[in-house]
Amino acid sequence: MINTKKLLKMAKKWQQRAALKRKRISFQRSTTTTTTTTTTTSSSTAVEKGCFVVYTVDKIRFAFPLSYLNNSVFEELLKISEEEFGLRAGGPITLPFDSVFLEYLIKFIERRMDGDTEKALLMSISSARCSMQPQEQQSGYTQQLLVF
Amino acid sequence: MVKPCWRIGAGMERSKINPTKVDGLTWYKDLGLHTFGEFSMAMIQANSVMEDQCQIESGPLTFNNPTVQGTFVGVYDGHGGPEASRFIADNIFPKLKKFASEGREISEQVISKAFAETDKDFLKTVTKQWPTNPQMASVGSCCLAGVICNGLVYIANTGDSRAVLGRSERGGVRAVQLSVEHNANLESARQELWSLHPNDPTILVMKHRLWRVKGVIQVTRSIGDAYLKRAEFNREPLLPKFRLPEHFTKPILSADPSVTITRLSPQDEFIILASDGLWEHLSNQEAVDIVHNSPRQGIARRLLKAALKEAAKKREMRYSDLTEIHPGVRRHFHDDITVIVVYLNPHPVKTNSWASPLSIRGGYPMHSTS
Repeated sequence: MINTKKLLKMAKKWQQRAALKRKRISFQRSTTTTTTTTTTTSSSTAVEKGCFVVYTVDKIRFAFPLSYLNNSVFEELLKISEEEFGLRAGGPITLPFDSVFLEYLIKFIERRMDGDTEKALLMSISSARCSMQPQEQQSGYTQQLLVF
Repeated sequence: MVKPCWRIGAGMERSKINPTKVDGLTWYKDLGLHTFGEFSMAMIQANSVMEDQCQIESGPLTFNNPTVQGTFVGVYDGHGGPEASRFIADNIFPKLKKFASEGREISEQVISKAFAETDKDFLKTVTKQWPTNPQMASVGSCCLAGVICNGLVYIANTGDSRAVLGRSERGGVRAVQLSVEHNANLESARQELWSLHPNDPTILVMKHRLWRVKGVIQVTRSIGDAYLKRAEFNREPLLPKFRLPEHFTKPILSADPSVTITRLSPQDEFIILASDGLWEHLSNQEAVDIVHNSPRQGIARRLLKAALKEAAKKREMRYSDLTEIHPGVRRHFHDDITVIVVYLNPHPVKTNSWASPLSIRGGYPMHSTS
């Protein structure tokens, strides 16, 4: 069993490392494979084919291939978003992380980690988002009715 | 990518002459005939298990008075699981018939009693299952029922589904909302709860810019949700996220429907009944305009598609991509949606339709892997 403290430390380290390469990214689906390419194009609201969109709390837009929805880490991210913000019908999905952290997570997802690493990562995501909560106020979507 | 292997079952039908269809996650009946005209139904699944249920029943509304003929329409939007909405679909219409038979007519009291007894019986089931299946205490459902009978339309609502009437007016059609809704994000629903619980400062809690009853649920009335009706369920082994920190004596949620009665006029063209999954993407007037300006065949599916297109737009993605998403993870993109359009004729379409009662149920059984 992995120590929670150690995991928290890991998560922080990832965030710091990712911060070194802070940049705006979007992912575009390649036509032949489901691998992704990182581009530095400026954020736009153009609708990318075969993609879904999430925003981070610092309002950075990410477009991912639909195949990412089958990834268990990504599924967990969406669940965390639901717990934090509820299921909002009126706008795009927001994840309760900043873009730096999400970029770092994506790198892990792309590397196709083994089961244990994935478990450790999932646990550390849950701990890491606690430190993100104060930022939640930044996401500026209007109020909606939903779900229940 | 894994091929989608989900589908909603073909629905339960007791009438073989009214086939219903399934296309991927969509269940539909494009056009059918009820006592007072035509109707169209459609549902789409987003949750891993379909939580919405619906039904249409047409024919005698009592067991003992054949002159009381009409149409019953129900939309049940479940939450926390499908058990409560399925229970309503199994029970509410027989109960309505039972109470209507006692007074030999349909009335507001008859409908309200059918709601109350359905809730009471569901809570009995929860009590029975508590030792083996305690999470049943956190399952609930909205319940919207419409009864068309004797030139009147009764709309009874518990929760936040909605019924909207399309009334023709100077070349167009005007949306008239018939249902009263119970959602904490409506001022009227909040006022009601505050006045019922004046000594509870946490009866309504604002969380992420949305009001929730006790910080946990948005609807202020429902069928089920035993954990918010009886304190005996507010304890282990109920999951901690549903347990309230303080004891309560008075039920927090009620199952009482708000009932409106409208006398139908020749200008009244149709009624749209739908779960909130539709209304969070389409306004009353938008929905009514679509129905007024489109052919009747497949109108419910057309409304469904219009709502999904809007959902895709809000999520900044293509509609065609949205339709590729599997149930379960799909709940992050839109809710389960049920829509029924009932066209109105002032008089029964044909007297011989009385002889063959209609009964169609949608959304059950749930998806299955094939």
